[in-house]
Amino acid sequence: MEMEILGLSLGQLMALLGAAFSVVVAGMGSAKGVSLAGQTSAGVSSENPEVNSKLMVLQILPGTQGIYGFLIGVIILVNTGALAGDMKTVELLQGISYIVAALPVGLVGYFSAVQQGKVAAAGMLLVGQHPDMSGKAIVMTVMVETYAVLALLASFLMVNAVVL
Amino acid sequence: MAIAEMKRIGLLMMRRDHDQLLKLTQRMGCVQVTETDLPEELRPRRDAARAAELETEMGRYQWAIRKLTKYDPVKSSMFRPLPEATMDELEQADHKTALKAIQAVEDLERRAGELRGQETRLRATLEQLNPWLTLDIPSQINHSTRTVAVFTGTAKAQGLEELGAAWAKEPVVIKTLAPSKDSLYFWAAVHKTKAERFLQALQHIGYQPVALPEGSGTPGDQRDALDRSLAELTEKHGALEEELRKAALDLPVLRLGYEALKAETDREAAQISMVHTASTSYLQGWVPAEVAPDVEAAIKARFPDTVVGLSDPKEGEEPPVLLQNNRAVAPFDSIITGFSMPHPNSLDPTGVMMPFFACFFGMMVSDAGYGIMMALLVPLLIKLMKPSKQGRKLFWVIGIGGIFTVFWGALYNTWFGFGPWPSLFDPVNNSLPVMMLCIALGALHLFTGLGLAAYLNIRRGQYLDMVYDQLSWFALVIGLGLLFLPQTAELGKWMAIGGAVIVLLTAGRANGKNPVKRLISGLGALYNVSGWLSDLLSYMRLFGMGLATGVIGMVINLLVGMVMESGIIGIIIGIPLFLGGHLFNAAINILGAYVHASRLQYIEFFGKFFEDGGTAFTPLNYSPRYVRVQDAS
Repeated sequence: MEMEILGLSLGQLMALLGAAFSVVVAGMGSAKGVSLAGQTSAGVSSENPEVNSKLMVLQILPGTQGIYGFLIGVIILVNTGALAGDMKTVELLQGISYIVAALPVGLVGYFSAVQQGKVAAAGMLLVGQHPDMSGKAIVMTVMVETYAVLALLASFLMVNAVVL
Repeated sequence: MAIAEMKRIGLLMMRRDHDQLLKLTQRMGCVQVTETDLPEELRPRRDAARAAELETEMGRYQWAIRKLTKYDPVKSSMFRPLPEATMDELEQADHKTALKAIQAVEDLERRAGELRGQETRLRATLEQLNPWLTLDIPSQINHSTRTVAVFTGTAKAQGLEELGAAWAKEPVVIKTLAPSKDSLYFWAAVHKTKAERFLQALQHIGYQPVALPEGSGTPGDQRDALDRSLAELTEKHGALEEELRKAALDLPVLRLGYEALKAETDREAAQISMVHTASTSYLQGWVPAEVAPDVEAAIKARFPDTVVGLSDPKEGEEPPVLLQNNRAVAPFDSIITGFSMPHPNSLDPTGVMMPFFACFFGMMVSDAGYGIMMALLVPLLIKLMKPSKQGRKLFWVIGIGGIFTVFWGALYNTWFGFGPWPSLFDPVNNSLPVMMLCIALGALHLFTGLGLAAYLNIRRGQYLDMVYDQLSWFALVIGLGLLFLPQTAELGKWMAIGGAVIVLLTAGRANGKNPVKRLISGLGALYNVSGWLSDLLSYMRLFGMGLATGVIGMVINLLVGMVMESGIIGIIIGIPLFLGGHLFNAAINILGAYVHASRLQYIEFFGKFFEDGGTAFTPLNYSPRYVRVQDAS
């Protein structure tokens, strides 16, 4: 007999858990990264208000991981039909596959966002001293993001590999 | 695609002319003044006194401008262009009015400081008075007399209670007042004869003497007086602010004054590099070859006594680098200068980079609706905001990128998050062809970079280096790629082996003749195959970023659709939600696309050929901060 919780099968619940995992974990990482960068931005701006607009770019860079996590979450919801309001049948193993698929973007997203926030903060100190180096500071920060992009792709391919 | 050709310029002028000539040069804004190549002993000792003076003066101006900006009646806004000024205005700024305004601000600041000091003192007294407020004894009579000893301070609450009980029959009055942590403030008066015993009793219950603040009247009266003084101070502060607001009317004069000082500082720096005798001055610098004859003619026309010498750069001399491109490509040179100036003997990659950059940018924003808005809004914003030269370049990069965005958005079939008709390239539902396309574009980009490196080697006549360093990699990488197709696998195998052998044998040729050392370096270079792989994978971000835009746009539309279903209120909420959501999505993706498209140039593309080490051409010109200079006639 299929177990049901609140009208959802266990498989469907697992699929939702996968979606939640990618949004929550990647989002937490981005929140942490953006916050760290924001605090540094405030500090640097108080010394050197003119570079503030250059710092804004650096501050939102660690925010993309949260968007990637959200993206995978939405794609899981789309693929399972949850967004359309009529969720498809999801076998237990398929549901677990969604959780597995959410792991790369969630975990890599979390850690890369925190680390990217640190690089962004260091880059801000650099820009505060040498405003003309802002291009380089941005490049340094974007280097970290490569791995989040790769994780996003892996998650995306895995989510699409689950055929309902 | 070009690094502008530079000429050496030498100007020998009458000393009396040098000031005016520098001004003319500054107006033309196309001569970079350098140190002269005269022998050291001919150069006089520098007099940097004026430069130091100017720096102090500029500091004062800037301080006053910062102080007053808060009170500026003309509020600055992102969309308001900077005020315009002519070059004449910059040269003849009204320093008298400006200095008067600065003095006024300095005076006001001093007075504000005094007021702040007074306020701090008053607040401290008020703080001290706080625990005594319920004491109704005027301070004038609140002290020991011939027969009565007065004690004020804190002691343990319970102890005071017991003390009061024990001394109930004695000639003593105890008033307990406000609590302080674990003890109470109290006031007590004792007959002198018992004072010593009372003090001993107090010391047992943790007596800490506390003096009342000086003043007249009861503590309550004193507080009222203090409050009145504070109100007066606030009023005075208000009056000062009013005066600052009036002083802020002089801000335009102050700003022009600052700019004039800045322009003079630049001229002074040029002047210090020049060589002067009693009656002549000599200046040396760089001028772009294209405008050199015009510069010569303009100087000759106004200063006929001046000798102008133009010559090509000497052997080994590295002229400053100025990137010169046609109007469609020029905005993109800001992406290169943001990275590093190319070496003067190298090449300006702007022209080759531009189509790639715009294409990648478009792929990552990837919403045709956003693209149309960008392409339409950018010219409008430039007209409205009149940004600086650098700002304008950035705007145009986004505008031109917008046109490419329309192309990719149409191909992906994404219009403000909607997909009205079926599409060949659908990143969400059929992602493999899009991913292949990204890798293919990446390969084209990387090979173009390698091609530029080959071109540089050919231009320098280093044909063998071209074979060793570029042709070998072309063969190796293309060969490896061909291995994947069964029809071409055989050909690919031999190409890859050929390329690999060349790399293995030649990559270490700079390390001398030792064959073992060379082979080891060759092996190290071969390991770079993994570098190519990660470079190629890096282009997957084109897919990832494009996907992000599309999916977020779709979610926004979905949410708005749900809200809209709930009738008229839903529509009222839905429309701003739709606009705001897409504005947010567009902003975040334009930024992401710009940054990531830059990265693909800097790391993947430039890594193959870029030779940095040039210094930017920095002519003597007007580069104001607070105003825009009208274009020179």
